[in-house]
Amino acid sequence: MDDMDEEVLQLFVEESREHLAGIEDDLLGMEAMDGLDEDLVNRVFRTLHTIKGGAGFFDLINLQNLAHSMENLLDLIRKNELQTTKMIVSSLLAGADTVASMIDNLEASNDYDISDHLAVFDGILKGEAAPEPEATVVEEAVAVEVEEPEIAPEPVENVSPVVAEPPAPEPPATPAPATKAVVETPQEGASTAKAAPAKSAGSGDQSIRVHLSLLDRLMELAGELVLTRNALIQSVETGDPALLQPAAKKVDAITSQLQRAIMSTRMQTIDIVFSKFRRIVRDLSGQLGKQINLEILGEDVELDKTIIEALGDPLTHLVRNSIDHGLETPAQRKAAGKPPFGKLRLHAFHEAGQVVIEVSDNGAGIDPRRIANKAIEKGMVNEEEIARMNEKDIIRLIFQPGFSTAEEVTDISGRGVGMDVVRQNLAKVGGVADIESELGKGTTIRVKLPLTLAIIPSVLVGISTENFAIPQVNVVEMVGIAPDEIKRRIQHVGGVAMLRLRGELVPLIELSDYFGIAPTYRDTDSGVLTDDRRDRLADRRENDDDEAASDARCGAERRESAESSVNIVIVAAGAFKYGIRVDELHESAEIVVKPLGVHFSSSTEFSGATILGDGTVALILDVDGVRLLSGASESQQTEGDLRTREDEESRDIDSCSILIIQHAEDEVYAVPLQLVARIERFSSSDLQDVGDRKAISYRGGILPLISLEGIVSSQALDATANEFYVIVYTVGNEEIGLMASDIRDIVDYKDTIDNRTHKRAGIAGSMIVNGEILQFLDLYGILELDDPEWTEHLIGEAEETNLSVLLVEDSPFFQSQMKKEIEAAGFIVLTADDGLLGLEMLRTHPEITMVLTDIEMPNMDGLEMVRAIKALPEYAGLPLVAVTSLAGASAEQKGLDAGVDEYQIKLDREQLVDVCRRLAKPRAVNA
Amino acid sequence: MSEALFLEDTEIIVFRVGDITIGLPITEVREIFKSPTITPVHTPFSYVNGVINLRGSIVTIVDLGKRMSLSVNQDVKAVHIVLVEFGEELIGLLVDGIEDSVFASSDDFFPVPATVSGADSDFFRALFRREEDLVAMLNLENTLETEVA
Repeated sequence: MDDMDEEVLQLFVEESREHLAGIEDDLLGMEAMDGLDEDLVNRVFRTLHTIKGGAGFFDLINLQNLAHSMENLLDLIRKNELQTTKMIVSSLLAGADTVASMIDNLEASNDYDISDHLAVFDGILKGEAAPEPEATVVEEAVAVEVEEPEIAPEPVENVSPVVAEPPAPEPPATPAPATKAVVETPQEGASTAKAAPAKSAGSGDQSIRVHLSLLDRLMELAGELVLTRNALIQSVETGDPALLQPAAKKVDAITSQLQRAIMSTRMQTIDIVFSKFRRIVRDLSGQLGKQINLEILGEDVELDKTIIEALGDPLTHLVRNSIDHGLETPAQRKAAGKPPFGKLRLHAFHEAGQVVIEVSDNGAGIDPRRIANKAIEKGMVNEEEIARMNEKDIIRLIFQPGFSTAEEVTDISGRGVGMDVVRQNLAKVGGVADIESELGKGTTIRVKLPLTLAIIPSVLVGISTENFAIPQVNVVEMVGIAPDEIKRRIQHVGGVAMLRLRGELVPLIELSDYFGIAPTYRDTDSGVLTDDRRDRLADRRENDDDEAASDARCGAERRESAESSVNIVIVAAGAFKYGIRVDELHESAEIVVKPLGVHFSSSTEFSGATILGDGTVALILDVDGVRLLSGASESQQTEGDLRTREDEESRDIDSCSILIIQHAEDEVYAVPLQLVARIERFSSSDLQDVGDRKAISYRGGILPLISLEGIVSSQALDATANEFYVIVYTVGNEEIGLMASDIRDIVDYKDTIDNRTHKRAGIAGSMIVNGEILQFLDLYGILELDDPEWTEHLIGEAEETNLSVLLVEDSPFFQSQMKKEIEAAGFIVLTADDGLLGLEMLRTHPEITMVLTDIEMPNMDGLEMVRAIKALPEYAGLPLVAVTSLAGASAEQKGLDAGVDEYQIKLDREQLVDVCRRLAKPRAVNA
Repeated sequence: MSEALFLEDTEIIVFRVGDITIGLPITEVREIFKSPTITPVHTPFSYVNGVINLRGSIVTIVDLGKRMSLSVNQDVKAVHIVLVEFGEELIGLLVDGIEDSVFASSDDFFPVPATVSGADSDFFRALFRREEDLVAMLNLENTLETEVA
């Protein structure tokens, strides 16, 4: 074939693939349609017609024949001479699969045996429609199911619920060949279904479609970059520092825009993965005699191409599990008092900078007792441990390696591979899976994924002389423990070091125990790292006698001399939290992931490596792998005299997490943690003066800094250690860094904040924590004090409105703070101290255009008030916004259920103002 | 063994690990350089010294002396890295010193005895007679094998 033909052939292949990508949905659409949808049929017809034409041109006889006979069938349907049945659609789907496979293997296409397909299509054309295959299967499945109670329940496999899995229905005796592709055994049916879309997704491997506007944007950025480069070169040549600064800033801005734009070319919608499940669910439910409604939500959520491609298999496994083990047959559902149609939901959505995919069903759920029995049988846990675990943790055992049985049938059926493989496959692309199940109600599996793989934001830490990167998605928080706090905060429970963190005990891991790193400690005077010759934590653990126990202080504690504090990074592996003690917290950085060689294939504790700015290598920790390595288990978390998690949650609703920072010796301030984006540590030598303002080079950009000195404090920043911390927070689209000499703690503060005694400009109030008076900083206020221009520049002009907003809040501190902020934006603010008073205000002030309410209040709480307002027709359409000091998904859901329109964080001024500007609209007052 | 014996005429890079003189056909050597700082890494293989940054790629470093369980003189510091291709990745072999590059004709190769200066014969594919001494030709596959037997 000469070049010309080769090119045309390539074109034909690409075009055909494109057409075929939609054919499956169209065929399924035809099936779902009552009567005839000409558009759909025409589209399928045209696809086949085009393929037939091309195949004829290239002498691909087989392909031509198959497409031709399918086309004939569609022609009849189009002319309304043939009624679309499930069976016809099944045979067309099978035919389309073969066509797609032939297109992918054009050279071998003439070797395909298409006689079965042709026979079926001929049969249909001649009116000898084969018996409906599904009907047969359903009958059989029902028959099987009736016998089921007598079958001794097998040990639980994977997610198998109470329902012992029905033996795979035998293929119905001898239906016409037509049914072959679809009916056979479930294994094969699914493999066809799985293979086809996987291929079409994979076939695009080497190229990607990019929207023209995006390309234009890239061109534009490249142009800007060239201009800025010229400016940069010029300023370097002339040596004029005044020119250098703006040029550097511009390069920074353009680079990040370029990065974002280029990354977005890799983004694809998750629909590519989701759409194939329509077919899988249809085929499988037919085979198993189950009735299932598939609901797909959020199919337009975008993810990196690599992640999308890696998602197919694990998700297929989860969906198959749901259909196979989770959802019951109509008869079983009826017996359980549920509607016959089971619901399977695939839902993708964004949450906290990640993408979450939920696979949920309203099936039988998982019986924790069976999981427990099986785990004990397998020797994974003992009964004692089970007794200490709660149901959720027991169900999570299915993710453990070795939980699923090895002697299972085949891996295609989805029964041979266990959930641990699913979890591992997801982990390869940075995904984290968790499961929730309620017996009789259903099962939900949540998969959290990063948006992209190529570059991951990470925290860099130093342990001994080594550097490690911990992906930001796994980092929950960083805790610094002051020397005099160590004894109280770090304790040994059952021979394991535990950190006391807001009423929870979190196990601590000493990486040097596992990584063969010589433990070191930093001499507080000289700042030099020295070998630590003291006992290692792991050694201590083996000593179980009383003497050792009484002396059993954490290695971290021993290692640090009395004058140094301990830094701990709290990470989350799935729902399990633990702390990693680190010697040094370096900056957070966006790191580029590099793969590790074959010698690391069994080292689950590393997910890759990265190269730092100075050229050295840092390994990327896989927090899940590290946990396995250390053997820390979830059950430890429930040990001790702990409040249950529910307590913790309800407690959190009205408490306020504050970050305690030190400015000078006796000056300690509190900052609301919700407003803090990051905490960084810099050396004093990094400090630069830009104009009359201090700033620091940071992530390749410039971070403006403000110091409390001269604003709310008369003392200079105590930076004797030559190091200082920067609390990074966002105002408008810009980041501001607040300098602090030390980070003391993070606490949950529940008591009242005194908004009188210490209140002044920049200070919103005061509070007492551990007998010490803290001044509560107004992060926006200090900005204005620092330089009035900030406000104008970053927050924008207040627009005078005459709109009234009702603020219902019991804490005088928050009430006055929020009132001030909303008033500053030009609104009239009316206040009420609890829900009852709020309702009263609403009645007496018809001019109120929106309501902001706290949740936890005396007399009548926020949710009750919201329900009451919702119940009154005259307030229909009145925007209701809940404000909390802690955003939690559960609290948010409760609020949404009660009828709240939005959730906002109390002290986030921008969000508050923004929500008022968006929602407060003059409204027609009902007489 | 016989097929391993029949090496073609080739140029050989000769280096030293402990007391053994080892050779690799020049075609199997990608690069030789002085060892940069190695970042130690914990792996199940004690002979994996760590990783290095080689122009932006992460390269695993295998300590040949440890791999062959040789009692390497502690005073001699392994200083050179012989970069080889293994499967789809590059691996750096940490060796004590680079000696020579010599031309070998296919007639100069001999079968390997059971041990070579204390190292298991599996690590080698042939012996090569260099004028007055013998050079053990490294079997890369067996040496870098990661399957735990």
